[in-house]
Amino acid sequence: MNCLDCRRQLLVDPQRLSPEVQAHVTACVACQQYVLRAQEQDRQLLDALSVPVPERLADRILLRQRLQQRRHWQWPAIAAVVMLSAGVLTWQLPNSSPVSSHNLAELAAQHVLAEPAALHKEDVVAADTLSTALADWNTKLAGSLGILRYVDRCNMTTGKGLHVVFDGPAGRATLIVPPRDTPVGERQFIGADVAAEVIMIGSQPVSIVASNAEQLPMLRRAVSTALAAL
Amino acid sequence: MSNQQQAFELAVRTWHSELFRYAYWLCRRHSDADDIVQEALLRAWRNWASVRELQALKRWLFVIVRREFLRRVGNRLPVLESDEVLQELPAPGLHPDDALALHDALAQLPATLREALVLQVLGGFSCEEIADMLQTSEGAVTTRVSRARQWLRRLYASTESTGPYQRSQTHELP
Repeated sequence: MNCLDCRRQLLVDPQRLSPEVQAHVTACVACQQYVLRAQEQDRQLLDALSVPVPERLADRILLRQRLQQRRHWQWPAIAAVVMLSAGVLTWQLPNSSPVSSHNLAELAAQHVLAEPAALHKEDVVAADTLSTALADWNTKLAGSLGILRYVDRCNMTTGKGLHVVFDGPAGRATLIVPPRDTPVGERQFIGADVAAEVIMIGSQPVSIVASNAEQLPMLRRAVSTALAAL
Repeated sequence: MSNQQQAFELAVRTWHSELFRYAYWLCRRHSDADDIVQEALLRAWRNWASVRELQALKRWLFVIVRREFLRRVGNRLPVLESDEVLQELPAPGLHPDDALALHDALAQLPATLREALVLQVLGGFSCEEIADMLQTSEGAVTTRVSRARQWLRRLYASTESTGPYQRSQTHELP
């Protein structure tokens, strides 16, 4: 192997040196330097390729996976009646609808907990930004929510929703507008450090999320005043 | 927690960063990469029972991310057809420590070259593994990573006399 062949192979993969390359490099000082430079470049390349990863990405993925799994397990809670009649086997569903575990308020609360960075934003977001975003849900800003700190479309279990953090009359709070056609289910959720409630703006459900249940009534009034159907 | 759930969580926590970065260098948008990785890993979970070899798990996850990206772009990844595209790209002087400029340079690489390089440097895959993942030949992969490195090296300004960037007086280095 000569230097040219050695360096051609190093262009392909400086980290995996074939026995022939290793043998050549051992004997060739110039190529030793070349290997060191090539490997250093790959380290720089790795640094450049290592772009920042969104906060709590793994947590959000696992949360979505667990929520989807829970809905999958709980849905088939259907009582079935087997009728045997003249040798024919039939299934008869009961009159009541299947039990649903869907709780939009709880989903909103979990989304807020999965994205804690949003609650600590100190940016000031223009009202126009929220107005524009709300239009996708046939909703508008009819008044002031307070100082807007964060407005972003987020992945939620059933699609893209809207995540809004604001400083309202009851302190910092969150508004979650769920993906379109998300069933509402239960309308309230009280957790250890979080409380959420679903209110209707026209036909559009929105979830208000606060750090405790005492803040919900004031928050409900503020949001009901600030938002209106288009 | 079931064994499958445990294994999935471990895989997500171990590789979510690399998978996100791979997705980012495919689509070059943080928000899209976030979506792609989430959907890809949820898809992986739905097919978790099909995982047979743990050694191939990382490769499998990268392939699922790639498929999710291709699904979003209509299964069209630009194919490099000639060297002309590479030679037309600007090659300003670049200091080896200029990470931001290197980031921009990587963004300018043709997609097929960048993808192979990302899988090798970021993913740590061999050319043989990359060929299998991209459903192409090992020769094609070695060509792509070589060309990518050649082009990036042209960007570097070097004053070293024995550095790999200096053109030899007797013959041109590859």
